[in-house]
Amino acid sequence: MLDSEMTTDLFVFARGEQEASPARPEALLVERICCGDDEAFSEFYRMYAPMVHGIVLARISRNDVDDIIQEVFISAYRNFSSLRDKNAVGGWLAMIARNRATEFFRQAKPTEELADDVSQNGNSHARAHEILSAIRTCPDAYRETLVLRLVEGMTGPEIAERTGLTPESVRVNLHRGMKLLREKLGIGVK
Amino acid sequence: MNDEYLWNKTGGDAEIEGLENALKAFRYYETADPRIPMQAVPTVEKRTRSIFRLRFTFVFAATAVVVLSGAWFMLPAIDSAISDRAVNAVNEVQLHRLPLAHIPIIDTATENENSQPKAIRATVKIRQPDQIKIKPVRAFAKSLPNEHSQVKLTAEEKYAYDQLMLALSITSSKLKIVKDTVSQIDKPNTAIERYR
Repeated sequence: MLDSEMTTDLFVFARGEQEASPARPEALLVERICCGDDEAFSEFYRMYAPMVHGIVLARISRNDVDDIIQEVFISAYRNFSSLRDKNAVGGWLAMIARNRATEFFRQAKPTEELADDVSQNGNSHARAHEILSAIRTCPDAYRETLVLRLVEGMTGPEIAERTGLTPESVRVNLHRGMKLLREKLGIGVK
Repeated sequence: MNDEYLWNKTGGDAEIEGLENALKAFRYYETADPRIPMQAVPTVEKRTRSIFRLRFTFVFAATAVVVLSGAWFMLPAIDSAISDRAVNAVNEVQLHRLPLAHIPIIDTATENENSQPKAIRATVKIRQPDQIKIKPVRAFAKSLPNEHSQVKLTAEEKYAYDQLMLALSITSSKLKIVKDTVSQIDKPNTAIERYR
């Protein structure tokens, strides 16, 4: 068998395997949303809101996060019909969230974020802000994964499933990001 | 640092748990039942509207093309009809308003000899169609003689009018003969002759 024929066979097999992949629950949700099912949208919102929250929080101030989340879901709802691969809705939504957050960060004026109740648990909030600020200084891939893991409480496989990244990438980002965060916070440094 | 706890929360790591507890304040909590925002336009409806708008535009454009093309072909016919009617009306009006001295008197006695009418007073100026300025429709309609208003002719005028009509009919018949002769319509039909 010639090399070209073998390559063609492999390509056809790979494509057939891709077409035969079963629709994931998220894809079925998107299909229902496109048909006008409001309950499906609520379920979709509950499923992906923590991920969108984490991605946005890794980039912009906490006070503006809720507005950006709303804009992300509105934009997604308007453009569901343009989504070709419904199975990749997680990565698609994460990309919308990143773009919205970046766009907002460019347009927003620099502000100083204050804790909600500085007088009461002042020490714990100050510590939380310090950690979050340290995370935000990390590279994009690390800070997003760290926020989803440490703030939103998602596990590595959950992060991979929601964002569309491979588990290996998430694992590497978590490990390197955590190492970088410890250096920034001075944890474990003797 | 326990990598397995960092990956899937198995085992335990006090350092990571401390970070989690500190950052828990920033975690997302669902405050209300999420609903579709009012400003979000339904996707399916939007597509339907755009398709409907496209179809409407297409139908409107097609109708406009048909109407304009029809008007383009109808305009010359309407224009010629109006101009013919205008010529007839102007001739008729001119005829009614001609003074008696300007109406030609046809000598009917010479008609039989020469088969051509002889005009004694040929002072009538017949306007050519290209010399007539077509008035706007409203002004033209006003200028037309009313059907109910009959022009009363005297006996002499009526006689002159009849003579003129006779002369015109004779002239037209002669012209028809000349035209047929020029067109060689009077020649015997060759196909019939062959058959015979």
